[in-house]
Amino acid sequence: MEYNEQGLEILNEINNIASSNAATALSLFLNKDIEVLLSDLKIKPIEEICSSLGEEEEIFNSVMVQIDGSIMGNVLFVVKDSDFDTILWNIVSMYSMEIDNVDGSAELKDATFKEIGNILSNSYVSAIGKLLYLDEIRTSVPYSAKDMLSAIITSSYANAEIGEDYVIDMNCILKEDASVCGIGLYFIVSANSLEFLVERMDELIQ
Amino acid sequence: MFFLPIFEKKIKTLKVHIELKVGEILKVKVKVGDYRLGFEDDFLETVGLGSCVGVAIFDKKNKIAGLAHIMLPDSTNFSCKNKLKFADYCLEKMIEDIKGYGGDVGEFRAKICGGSNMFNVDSKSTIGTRNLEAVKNILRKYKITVVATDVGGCISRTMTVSVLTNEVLIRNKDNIKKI
Repeated sequence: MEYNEQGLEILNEINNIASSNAATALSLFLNKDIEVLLSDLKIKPIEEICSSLGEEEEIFNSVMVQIDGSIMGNVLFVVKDSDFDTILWNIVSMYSMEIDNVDGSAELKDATFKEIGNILSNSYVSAIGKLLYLDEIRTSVPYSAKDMLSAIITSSYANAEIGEDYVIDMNCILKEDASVCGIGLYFIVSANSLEFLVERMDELIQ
Repeated sequence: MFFLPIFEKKIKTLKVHIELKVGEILKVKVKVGDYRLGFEDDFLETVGLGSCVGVAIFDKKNKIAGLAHIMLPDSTNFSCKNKLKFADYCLEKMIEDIKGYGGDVGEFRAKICGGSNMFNVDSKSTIGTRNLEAVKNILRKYKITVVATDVGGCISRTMTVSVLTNEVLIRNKDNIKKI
């Protein structure tokens, strides 16, 4: 899986636009400023992906949305468990609710978190669809998991059934204005889908 | 190749990545999509088995064990370089490797862990169940008996294998158990 400089530049640009779109959606939802920290797009082995976020056995909360159609893969949204309540608090405080006092708060927390993941993932994917004029992109319902980071990353990768030796880490970190809340958004797609995106963008530029 | 002295086997083990902290036992780390062999009093460990399947195969007579971290069931439709992430390729290679030390494959025993549906995806055939099915098929092909399992559910597991006692310690985010 090798890309020339132009191909990587195109993928970087697609990622920048899609990530910014996802950050704007979250910002509107939370009614707060969201900073997008974009790292350079990297091609790395699957086992190295989680090392950029935390320890292998560290507990993370995650939402996965599967993508089907013109491109195949997953969007994975992960949040450190220690930041989880802060993020949820920001949302529920908008609606003057105290989440710990609500009956069945675990279910409410899960549903709220899924909704954030859903908004982020769908705004990320729809930005790509609009940018490249792709009609055939479908997304699944959001699936959530709270567990070890490495299991979340590898299971999401296995779910996409990519099978490549290396995956493209289009990682971006969304950072909240006041508090330090590291949020990771990953786009896990097959090499074929990425080649399709590069070719499509190339066609449109010409 | 046959009946290597213990110290030669140890050197082979030490060539792989080893994580050692003060007060901790020596563990040979098995990465995602890989396998390792351990000898005598070694411990093998693989972290974060979600839909992935950890397969430990023991040759009790020769005090050898192998541990594999399988990610996907079948390598047929893929042309990638590292095929050790696939059940068919990885397990066959690991079994042949253990056999290389003179063991009788009919005497080998296996313990399986993982294959969960981490994201609780609403499907009868999740990647976890397909991984488990592929692993069981290969073990059946070699007539290797599966003596213990801790599989399924929606939870991830870390698997630590003792070559000496053939015990497997399974750690998840809530508890620890032995199989």
